[in-house]
Amino acid sequence: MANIDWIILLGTLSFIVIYGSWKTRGSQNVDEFIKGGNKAKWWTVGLSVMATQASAITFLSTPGQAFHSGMGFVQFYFGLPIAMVIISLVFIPIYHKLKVYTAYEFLESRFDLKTRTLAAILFLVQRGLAAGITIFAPAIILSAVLGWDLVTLNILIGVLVIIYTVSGGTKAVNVTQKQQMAIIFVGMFAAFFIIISYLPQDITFKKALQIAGASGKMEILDFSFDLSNRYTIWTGFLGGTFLMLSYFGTDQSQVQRYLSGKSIRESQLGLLFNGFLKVPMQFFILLVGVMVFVFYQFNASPLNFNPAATTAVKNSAFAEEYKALEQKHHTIEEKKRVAQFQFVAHNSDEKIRETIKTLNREEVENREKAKEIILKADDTQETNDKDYVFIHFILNNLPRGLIGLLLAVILSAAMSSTASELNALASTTTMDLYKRNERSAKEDKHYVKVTKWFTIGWGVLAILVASVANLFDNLIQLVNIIGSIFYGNILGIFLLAFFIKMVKANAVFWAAIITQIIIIIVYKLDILPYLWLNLLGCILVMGIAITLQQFAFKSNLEVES
Amino acid sequence: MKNQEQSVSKKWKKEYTAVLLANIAYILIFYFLMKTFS
Repeated sequence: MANIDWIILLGTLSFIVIYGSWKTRGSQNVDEFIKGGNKAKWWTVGLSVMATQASAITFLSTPGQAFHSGMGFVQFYFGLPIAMVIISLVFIPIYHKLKVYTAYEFLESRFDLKTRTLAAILFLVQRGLAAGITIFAPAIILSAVLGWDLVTLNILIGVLVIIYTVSGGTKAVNVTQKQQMAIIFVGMFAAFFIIISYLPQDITFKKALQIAGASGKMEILDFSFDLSNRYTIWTGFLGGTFLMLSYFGTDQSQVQRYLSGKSIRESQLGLLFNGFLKVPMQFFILLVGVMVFVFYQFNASPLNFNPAATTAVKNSAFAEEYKALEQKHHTIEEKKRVAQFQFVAHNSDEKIRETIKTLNREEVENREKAKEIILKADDTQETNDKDYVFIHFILNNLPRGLIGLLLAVILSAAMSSTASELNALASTTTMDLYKRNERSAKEDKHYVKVTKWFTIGWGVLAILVASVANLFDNLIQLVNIIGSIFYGNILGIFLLAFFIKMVKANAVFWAAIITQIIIIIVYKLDILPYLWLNLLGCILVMGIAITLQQFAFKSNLEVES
Repeated sequence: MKNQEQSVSKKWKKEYTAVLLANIAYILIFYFLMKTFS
């Protein structure tokens, strides 16, 4: 990295931290610290919600996803606008009316204290671990490609976030997220136009799309009902709505963003802003990945984009075998280059399209063989290299200065998500567990101080999780599994609270406990793929609660009504 | 007061509809792009 890259990277990050801390210093009461004094305008709410969801992995992994599998991933977000409308219409008016600090506080007014505490604890376990992974996931990739020390990088990201989140609470998170989103947009647009300018002279944007289409990268929509296809328009609408509803409606790291809105209307508009921009934004990030794919049709690419995996295999007994595959890879690339030029010159000729398809198949097979050899050489290596494609492109092709800016994009995204998570974890610990169980009420200042200490505590825990994450084989997957085990249950509790008025506290509490036990058993017995545990948990808790209310707690219902 | 509430609700309906329609438009654009370039 050149000096100018370091200046841009460090300058951008320090500006965000210093400005965020200075601008929001001295929050004296809980309302200011946890809800930002309810002063946020709709665009602040909207950008904050987007920045919270978009982690560093979004910018590292999504272009790589498009590079390997095309644009189909955009379908995953089709349910998001529907979820935004439902949350705006149903969730926000109730949260605002009850003036809650956390989503779980609402559960006490609707059910009882034990249901609120249960939901808060489920959130803390899941989000506490996820915060560590939000730091670890980009750190492991950046340390692999830049040679930076992993633990130092974990500590750097964590400490920077802790500084401004402790200093200004929700307000600081909101202020910094606006700047982080600005950097993210500028960086991604710059990268996109530079990639286009790097294409051979006679390859226009339209021709680039034709080249991508000939290799199947423009299969944006999949209308098939094949359950083995992870991204189809149906899973996007059904699964996506369900998933986004649980994430945006019941996860405090998101709820806290729109609770900071100046009014119901500002919060609702903020979410609608997200519903308006999210799909095109994801489409654009995927398009960047597709353009990187087109770029590598005319330029040499590595056989595997993960440098650590390549080094491991080259230092093993399988080096010669791997070299032979690399040679074959370059031969295929050379043939493809010729074919792509012919394809463009002959106006998308069908014969040449078939040749490109055959060469693509050969290339994929070759890459798969390379992965097998890497695993034979060192089975601890990550062979799925989609997370490394975009960063490899950035470091090897972008001009000086822009490398620093793009690294700032990645670190800004990591910081914005982590800040929301720490802010929400601390708020939930203070409001749902600490303050709620205090015998005597204390001054506001005391709770601000306690929330700040909880922020530091959760921050240190996140850094520790990030630092030991390396020792576990599949920690990211483990966190996703833990999320799937708890998320459905929490969403079910909220859906019962909002829509099924006849269900009361005891029925929902015991239904949640029974559901959690069943979900853990189903997971242990490996009956369903873990992503489906979300849906199962939600259906189970709702079904069991209604049944319990009808039969076991029927007299309760009569007394209460 | 009632009239004011009704006009606010009508405006809201417009905003929700706009977001959903925009997303339908995105999907139609994606379909067009897919048909043109695949």
